[in-house]
Amino acid sequence: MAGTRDYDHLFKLLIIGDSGVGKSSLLLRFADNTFSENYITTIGVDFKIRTMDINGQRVKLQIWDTAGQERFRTITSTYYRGTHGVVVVYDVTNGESFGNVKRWLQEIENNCDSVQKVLVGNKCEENERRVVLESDARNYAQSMNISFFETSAKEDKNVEPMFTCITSLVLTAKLANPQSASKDQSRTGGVSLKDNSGSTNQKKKCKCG
Amino acid sequence: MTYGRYRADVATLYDVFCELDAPKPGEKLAILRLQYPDDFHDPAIVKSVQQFAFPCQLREVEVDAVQLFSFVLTDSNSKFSFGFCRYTPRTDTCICFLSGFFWPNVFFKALNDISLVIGSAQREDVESVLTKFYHTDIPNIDEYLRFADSNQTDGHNYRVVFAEKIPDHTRLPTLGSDKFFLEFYNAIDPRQMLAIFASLLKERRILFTGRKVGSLSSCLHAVSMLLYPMCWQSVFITILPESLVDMVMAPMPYLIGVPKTVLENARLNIRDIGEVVIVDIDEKTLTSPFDDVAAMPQEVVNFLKAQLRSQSAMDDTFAKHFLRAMVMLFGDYTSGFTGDTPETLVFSKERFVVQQKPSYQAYVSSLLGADGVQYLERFIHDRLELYKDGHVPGDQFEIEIEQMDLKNRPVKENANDVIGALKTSGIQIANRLQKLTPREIRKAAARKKAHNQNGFEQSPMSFDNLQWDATFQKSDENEGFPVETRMDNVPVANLIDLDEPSTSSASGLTSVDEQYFLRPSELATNNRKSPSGAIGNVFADPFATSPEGSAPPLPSRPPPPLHPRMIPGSSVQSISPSGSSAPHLLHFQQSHQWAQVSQVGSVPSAMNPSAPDWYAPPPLPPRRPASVGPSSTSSGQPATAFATSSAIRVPPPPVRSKWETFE
Repeated sequence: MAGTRDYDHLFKLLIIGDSGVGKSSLLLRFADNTFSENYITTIGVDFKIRTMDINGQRVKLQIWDTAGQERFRTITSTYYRGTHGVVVVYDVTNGESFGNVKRWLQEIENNCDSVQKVLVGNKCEENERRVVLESDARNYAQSMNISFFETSAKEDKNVEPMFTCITSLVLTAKLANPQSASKDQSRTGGVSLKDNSGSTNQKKKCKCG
Repeated sequence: MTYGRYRADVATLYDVFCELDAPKPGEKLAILRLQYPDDFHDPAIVKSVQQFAFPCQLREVEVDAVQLFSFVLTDSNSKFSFGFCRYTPRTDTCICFLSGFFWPNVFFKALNDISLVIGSAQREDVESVLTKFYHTDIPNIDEYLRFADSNQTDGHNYRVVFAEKIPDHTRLPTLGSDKFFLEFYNAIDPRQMLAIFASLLKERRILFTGRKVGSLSSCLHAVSMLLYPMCWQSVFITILPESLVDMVMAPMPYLIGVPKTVLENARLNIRDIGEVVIVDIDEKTLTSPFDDVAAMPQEVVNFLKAQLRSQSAMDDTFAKHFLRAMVMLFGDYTSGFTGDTPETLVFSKERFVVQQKPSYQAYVSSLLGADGVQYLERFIHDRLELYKDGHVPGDQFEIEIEQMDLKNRPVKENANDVIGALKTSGIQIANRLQKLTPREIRKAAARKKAHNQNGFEQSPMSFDNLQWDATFQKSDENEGFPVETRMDNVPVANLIDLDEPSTSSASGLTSVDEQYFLRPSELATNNRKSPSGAIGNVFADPFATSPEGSAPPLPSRPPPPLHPRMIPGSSVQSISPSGSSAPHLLHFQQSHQWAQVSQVGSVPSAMNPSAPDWYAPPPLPPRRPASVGPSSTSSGQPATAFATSSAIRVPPPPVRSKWETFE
């Protein structure tokens, strides 16, 4: 709800990952208002807000989460259509959650090229229960050419740098290519479309009148 | 349809019943007056009911009529719970059942009866009814839920008796028995239905708005059913409470119903919402930044245009139009399956796409790739699992595939040996015995063709439909074949302009269709053949009875208002922008064009419907004369007209295909 804008950019990010990998904890660590309610268990969708300053630009972040993602073998590309960036989270103590993440990243890679992404291995404080090696994950991230972080939402380790990183990536992409990074804005800009529609009207008039 | 997201853990008929007073001004939550069972301890759920049962100040919206509406909650596993609500303006209260069962007829009936008890009896009587209802045995699908409770002793005076049939969600909804579908049918113009369906297939973010929470939530439920047999997989909120209005900014696909007052008060920045399809039920407008109809295969568009313009009977004909469109698009899904044994089956996108007709390939390829849609991914995944386990799906979709026989598809050599072997044992033999399938007809026609020297030299038999029909019609033995099968192969919709009052409208129908087109008089009598005379009220309209008197039984009511239909030429005025302030959105017009609503170039700063021109309404089209029915027998040439129809080979007159000239 913003009648007047108190920010330069609004970015919508998605956080994806199996349930139990700590998405909610990461969001709570990061969000401005940790006391806000959680709607993920009542309407299946929720978001948290944070305003950041990146290189002097005020960026308002909405980070969205949905319920039950793990039921999808592939999260198809429509899911990412309205988003600027994706935080992909697995649990370092859960190999299956890493396997899911790989499949999902592949889909993003294949079909959603304008979406920025970051790979996150959460619960890195649980070292004795770890099954996904940091080096493996890092190599994988490198092969996919994406940034990688190991975080601990519990001990507030690396959470802030991770979100700053994805936000910077999105901002950089937007500034470099306003067309693709802010599809909706450019598309709904109105001015360019006005001429189009004028000609459509024109056509219609010719046809019918 | 959403049955794939029903909860599996449902142990009682309902989770909780709540009686609520309207929230005080400025408050978010309605006031809980009564909760049953009183030991239901899930504060988050009860709080949600308090929010959703009063999504806004309902009295501002409705001062007279009782409102029946339904909300949906989604748990952390993405499974649904359904809230069935009955709002009484006179007392400004709402009663609500929350249940894992999607049985609207049962719960609305119960709510209507309980409202009578609340109005006239003691509090303990209400609790007696609720207790008994809570402990009612859960019937199976298609059985009746029978409920009776009464107390006429001193100081008490109530009697609740009803029986409601448990709906089978694997069947298509009928207009006669599905409140949600009927309200959708009445509320939405056919052109918008087509556009909504097209956007649904593309998994857009779709927002419905309207003043009446009843018809709003009904439309959302109905729209989710259009994808049958597939299920909407993303965000689904039939009624969004005022306190959650920010959720319309969600970037992923959604189907959300937002009460008009909520949208008005929110003053959301349209740029923050992003690309969204907005359907306004009151104004009967649809605005969208996309032209999803144009992206659909023309054959499917034409088919739906032809079908949706016609008036539907109260059975499942209306739902069947969409089912058939789904079959046309995805009915050949098994051609993508590859593997030597059921256990090793996998789905190959490439294999599927290349076997589709050229005019379908780009579309289905996109839905499986760049525009990858989750409902299709889920569907294929689930069907694959079934086949792997040696099961054969036998739902309405599969039956329809059999009946339509994927007309005009290329021959599949050995593509589906595994599937074929499985299927022959599975699917309804009875249906096949009653009539020849198109495949059998084609065989006959192929034989015929051998003797046919009039052009069309291609050999072997081509399945190009035009050619096939041409061949077929040269046959002297037309009458020997069931008309319906021939019709299945005719691209009749190409010849029909939705906008033109054509008396040959029946050409869009197969004889299968015809049998569904009961006349209103037949309807009344047919539906009154109540299977159980003892339960007199079984078919009474459960939708909207009020303490003042129950509504008349539904089946006897006249068919719903006809879809407004345009007369050619009248669309000119409709393009008048009339000062709308939404230049960034395209407006859905009568002639299937996305025309810009406004000539003003400024981006609106807020979504503010208090300036009503935001939703520039199209002019009201003239009503279609009732006599022009789709299967109008008075035209005297319903079926035989097709057999000899020269239209099949004649290019459509240019005047009729108005929309096609605006590419």
